[in-house]
Amino acid sequence: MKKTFPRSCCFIFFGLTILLFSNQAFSQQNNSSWKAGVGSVEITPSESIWMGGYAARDHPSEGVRHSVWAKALAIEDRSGKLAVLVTADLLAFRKTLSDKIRTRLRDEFGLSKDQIILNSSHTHTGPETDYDRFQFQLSESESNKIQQYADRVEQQVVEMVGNAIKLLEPVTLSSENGVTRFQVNRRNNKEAQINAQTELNGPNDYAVPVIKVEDQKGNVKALLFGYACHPTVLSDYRISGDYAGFAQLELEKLYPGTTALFFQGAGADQNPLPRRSVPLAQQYGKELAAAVERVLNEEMNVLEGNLATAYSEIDLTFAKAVPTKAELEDIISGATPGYPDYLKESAKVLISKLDNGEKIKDSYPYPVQAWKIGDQPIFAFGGELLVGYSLELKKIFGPDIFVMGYSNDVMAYIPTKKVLAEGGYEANRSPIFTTQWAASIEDNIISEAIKLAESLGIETVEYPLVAP
Amino acid sequence: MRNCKKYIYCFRYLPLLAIIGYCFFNPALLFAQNASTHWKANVAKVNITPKVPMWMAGFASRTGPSEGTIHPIWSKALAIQDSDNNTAVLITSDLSGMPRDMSRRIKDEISNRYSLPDAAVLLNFSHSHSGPVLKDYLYHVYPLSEGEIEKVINYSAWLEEQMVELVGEVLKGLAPARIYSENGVTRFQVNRRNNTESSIDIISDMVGPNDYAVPVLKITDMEDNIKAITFGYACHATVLSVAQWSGDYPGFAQIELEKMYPGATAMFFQGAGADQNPLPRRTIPLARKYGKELAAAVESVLDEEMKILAPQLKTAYSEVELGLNEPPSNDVLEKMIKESSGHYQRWAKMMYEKVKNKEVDTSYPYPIQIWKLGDQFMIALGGEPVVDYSIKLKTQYGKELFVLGYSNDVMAYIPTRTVLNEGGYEGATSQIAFGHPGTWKPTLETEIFSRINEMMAKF
Repeated sequence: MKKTFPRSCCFIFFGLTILLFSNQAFSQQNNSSWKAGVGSVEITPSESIWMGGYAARDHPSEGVRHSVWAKALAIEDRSGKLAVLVTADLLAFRKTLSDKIRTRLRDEFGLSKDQIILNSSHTHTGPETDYDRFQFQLSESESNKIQQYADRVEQQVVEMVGNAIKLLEPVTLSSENGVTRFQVNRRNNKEAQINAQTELNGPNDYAVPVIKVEDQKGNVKALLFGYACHPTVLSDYRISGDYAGFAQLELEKLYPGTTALFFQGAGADQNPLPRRSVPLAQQYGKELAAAVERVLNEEMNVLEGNLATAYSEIDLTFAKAVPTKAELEDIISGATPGYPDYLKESAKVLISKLDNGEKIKDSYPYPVQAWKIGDQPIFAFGGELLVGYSLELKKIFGPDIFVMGYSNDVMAYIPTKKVLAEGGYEANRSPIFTTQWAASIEDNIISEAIKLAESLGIETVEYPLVAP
Repeated sequence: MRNCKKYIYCFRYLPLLAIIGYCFFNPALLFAQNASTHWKANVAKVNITPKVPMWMAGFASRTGPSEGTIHPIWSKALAIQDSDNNTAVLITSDLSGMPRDMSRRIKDEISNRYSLPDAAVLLNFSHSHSGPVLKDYLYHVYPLSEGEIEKVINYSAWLEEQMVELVGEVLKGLAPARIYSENGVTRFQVNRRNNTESSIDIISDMVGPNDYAVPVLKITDMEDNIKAITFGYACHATVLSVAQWSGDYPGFAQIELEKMYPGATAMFFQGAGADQNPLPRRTIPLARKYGKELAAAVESVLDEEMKILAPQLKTAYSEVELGLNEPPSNDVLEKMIKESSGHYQRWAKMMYEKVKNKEVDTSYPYPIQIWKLGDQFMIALGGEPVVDYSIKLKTQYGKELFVLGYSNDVMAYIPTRTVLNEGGYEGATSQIAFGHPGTWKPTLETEIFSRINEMMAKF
């Protein structure tokens, strides 16, 4: 008995010593392993411009509610591997603009596609950047403004990324998921009855993924956060970032000196409801900011300094053959009924391509991307990704993963096979408006994600044989 | 000289002109002219944080008294008076609830001192699980020593006097006011009966029923400065179960709103939140987050146009006798005394004695109170009503209705017949925590609704 006491003391001392030393080693490693640089640039249009998101709008913007921004987070691991995430208060980075930006980032900074994610918040009160789509619909001066604005955004994003890379400094990165629930599955709940509903139908992804970037003094340098929900509270003519813009403003107020970057998740079938007032946009922004603040106030997962990135494009096919010129002409003339005016405009764009000797391709190159930051997996997909994708991937890779939609190219809605079978708006918006995507879309996308995950060492969930 | 006289002539009428002009332009007199067409209101608050460590109410699992304070807890009073001098006082408190006897003493004293009848005084409790235990209230749930009980008795006597004095204070400062109402929305509550808390992080489709409404009353002075913000939500204040005093998420929401609107007093009332929990929970950052979400929802309502309420106040109060089932047989009680532990055992001993002494209550006087401010109805129910009461009342009386639970006397859970039929905590076993002999008779829902309908018919 007498002997045991000092011996156990010895053990405790020994244990404490190890703990102390290992802790020290740990913190040293954290301080030196990651570098990050942050950039932001105002992309508020300098004049009235066509706005993206609602086909019902009949004139360009009228003023600015708050500035809209492009922001960049560049991170570099201990081996010098670099990656850059760009977020923007825009409806979309479509292929043309995205390819131009990514080509220049490759040429000027040596960044390959796997090292770049371009995510757009999908605000419906931001400027349009897609010249192609509007070429026959708008006056020449309006469509020229769109093209000039897209050129300006391209230039600004490239410069901003360059600045962010120049500003790389040692940081600590931490990640965690929070939660908030202002989104509503818009396919399975009726908006007009939202105030009378006592139960809302899913599926939903309530997660608020957060990455915190702290400098060596512990100051929060950047906050990257996401949510899966259309920024469609507002549908007016004033430029804004919608709830995502308000959330970023609120976080930059809560944490002075920080840059808050919002990314859109798999929010294609999720709307912020009720909606259509500025106070509601602000309310949801504040709710999202409060969810991020809570994540920061609790313990977060500190990320080890290893970065791995992968990117690929897969050819997604369509359910039906691509339309012929005659079929398109019948749509425009109304001989084939059921197509609203804005789809007739799309038919005109396709005809002009055929007239220029181009073919309408019977597949679409769809971008799939995965990053592993420490042990934090991030999946980024093109298009308007339905929430089902996020939920399926979380079943495979666990609830801690981050899923981004609206990344690198926004060409169409990306329905799950269930939604394709159910039909409706999200099911019928492939890049070619006369046909749905092929029913294999979900399996093709998820198998590609699994393939990329494997190549990065992202582990799948081990479900227990016996319930714990 | 003549000219001069003319001048003087003018001056002779000047005072009269001045008085006429004064009458036209002086806002105070304009007021007096309108005296019969506006509200008067006032708001006051008192810090009710216990000054010594005490046992905390809400969770049977706590093993010791409080240790410190996250933020102070409050009783707040809103007094309103209509154009016919009908007066009412709403008192909201960061407390889990209050037993009938204590509420009775407070209301009687308010009636004695200020001549306000029962119908005109509404006590609502936020149901914070981070407030103090009150006198003669669920003692058997907590392992209280004699010393702890003495602290509870002393605090309760002090609290009663604080609340009565608060009413005196708030009545003194009545000033012209405008009152507005509207419902907002937020969705951090989760139906706890129909969703599994432990798998909340992976649930992609939550099951209801829910009441997402955030009812808001805005009280301004005649210059449109916000004096009071009264708001509610139907959700247990159970984010926190730590040993520090706080108002839980409603406390954080009130703090946030008082920060956003300097000069305003924010008052929270609990709705029919008996089967609703804020999930996920159990951290201070989450309590603050839900507080901020609720405050953002209230701000959104305040930022939009609200319905202005005509200065007409009507109040009604009634008690309906609800039947309780008999306690289990003596054999069952004896078995529980021998084999169970904690508050189940203490309840069995208590019930055994009551059966022996023929003191078992077979019914309970259930309080229902209705206020009508302009055309805005507020229905305040006693006990912990499950959310279906709110949903059904709104089906019947419109979605603009405000429903308050936890009002005047928090004597038990108030299940619907569906919840009774399903069983579980809210339908059955919570009766043990509240010290009742058995479950409610399944007629309770009908009894409550019939009484409400009778009362509403008289409005």
